[in-house]
Amino acid sequence: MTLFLAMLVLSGAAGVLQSMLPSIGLLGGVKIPLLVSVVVYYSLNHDTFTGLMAALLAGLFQDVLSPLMPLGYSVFCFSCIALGAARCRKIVSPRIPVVVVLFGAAGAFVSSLILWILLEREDQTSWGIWHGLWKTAGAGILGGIATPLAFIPARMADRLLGNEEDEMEEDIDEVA
Amino acid sequence: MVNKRYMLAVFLLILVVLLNLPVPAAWKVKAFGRDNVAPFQNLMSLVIARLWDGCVSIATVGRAMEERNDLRRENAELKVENRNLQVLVLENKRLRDQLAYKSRQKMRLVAAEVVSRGDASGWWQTITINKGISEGVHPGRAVVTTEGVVGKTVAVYQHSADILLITDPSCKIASTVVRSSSFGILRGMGSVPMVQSRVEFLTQPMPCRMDYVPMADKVVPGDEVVTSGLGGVFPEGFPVGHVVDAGVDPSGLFQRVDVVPAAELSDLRYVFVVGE
Repeated sequence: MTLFLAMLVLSGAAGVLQSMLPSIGLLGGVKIPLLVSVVVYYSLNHDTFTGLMAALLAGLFQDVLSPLMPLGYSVFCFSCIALGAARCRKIVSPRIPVVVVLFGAAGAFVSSLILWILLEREDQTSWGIWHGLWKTAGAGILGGIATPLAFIPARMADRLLGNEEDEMEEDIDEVA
Repeated sequence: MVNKRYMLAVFLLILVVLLNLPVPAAWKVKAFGRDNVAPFQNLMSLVIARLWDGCVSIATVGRAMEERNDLRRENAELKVENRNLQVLVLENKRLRDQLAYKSRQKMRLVAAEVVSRGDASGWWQTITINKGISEGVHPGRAVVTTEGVVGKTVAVYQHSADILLITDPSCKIASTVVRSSSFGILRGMGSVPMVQSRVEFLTQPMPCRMDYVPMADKVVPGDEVVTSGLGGVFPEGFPVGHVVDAGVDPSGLFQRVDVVPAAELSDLRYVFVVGE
């Protein structure tokens, strides 16, 4: 329960901050992907279901805070990130900074790319192909920078609430 | 393992339901979320605005006195001008009454403060204001400043609303070039990197583009562009911007005209939503 509450508060704070911080014009006008960082954190540091719950919450916040975003699109993108990160959880350690940077960058890039494809398919947005690629690449760059920073309050919250998982006791992810 | 599969199945079910929710239901979910998040956004906006104003005050304390004196002088001059204009207004009304003209109805404007810039996803150019249904804001209404058109309301909640800016490619406005009376459809072109901009970091709006302008019409840089009123959202005559360039579009059938917005979109603090 405390884990879920911490996830809810962190996702909410990340969502509000993400919507209020200005976009970075040099990187295609992309927003700092704090919500993706929260998803990556819970996917790498907890079990698959926790990662998916984080994806659901973070995705709902992003969909709610984006007036023209169809409900569920961000949830779908973040779920893909959560499942991908969960698959790699056994072979990487989230304590290594390079791993966090890489997963943050890859997560932001992939979620942005999937979202762009979905929005273009539905004619929800009218950016040209180069601007779209610029935005997704920019999201990747910002994801690599923001994710290690987002890990700090998330890890502090887990420690404070006693939600840190012992790596030796985790079940092997058997979800196909 | 069975438990994990069960949980995954539940999650997939939730995802499928979310993606296939009917529009009214999805709207209710979004409105519920936004109405609950709005107070935090307002609080954060207030804190950021106070911090920013504090920093600016410290940095410009030397100029504050001089600016105050200039403003006082300007205020006094404007008061005198306003008194003279009131006389003209009364005379105008009297003459209209005598000629039995129908009096023009004034538009109702709802003043609002910008609390955040851009949606959370970054795929649209929007702003969020701190007024909503309770304050008389409705979807599909024009949003303006004293300088010109800013955009239109696309989503309105109980105490907040989202505005799609004219620089967003999804925003289209029926416009007219004043000098040549040329009609066209103005659309946003996004933004480009630039050094100075306070709100969107290192970016400025690209000129908007006006399409379907007839080839026969002469449009030159400097021409003023206003709303034509034909689209149904923007009343006629609101300033949109001025022409910076005019050329032939790739089809060769129409002109394409680049227009710089009149409103200072990179530094929006207060806007007005046009009411009934």
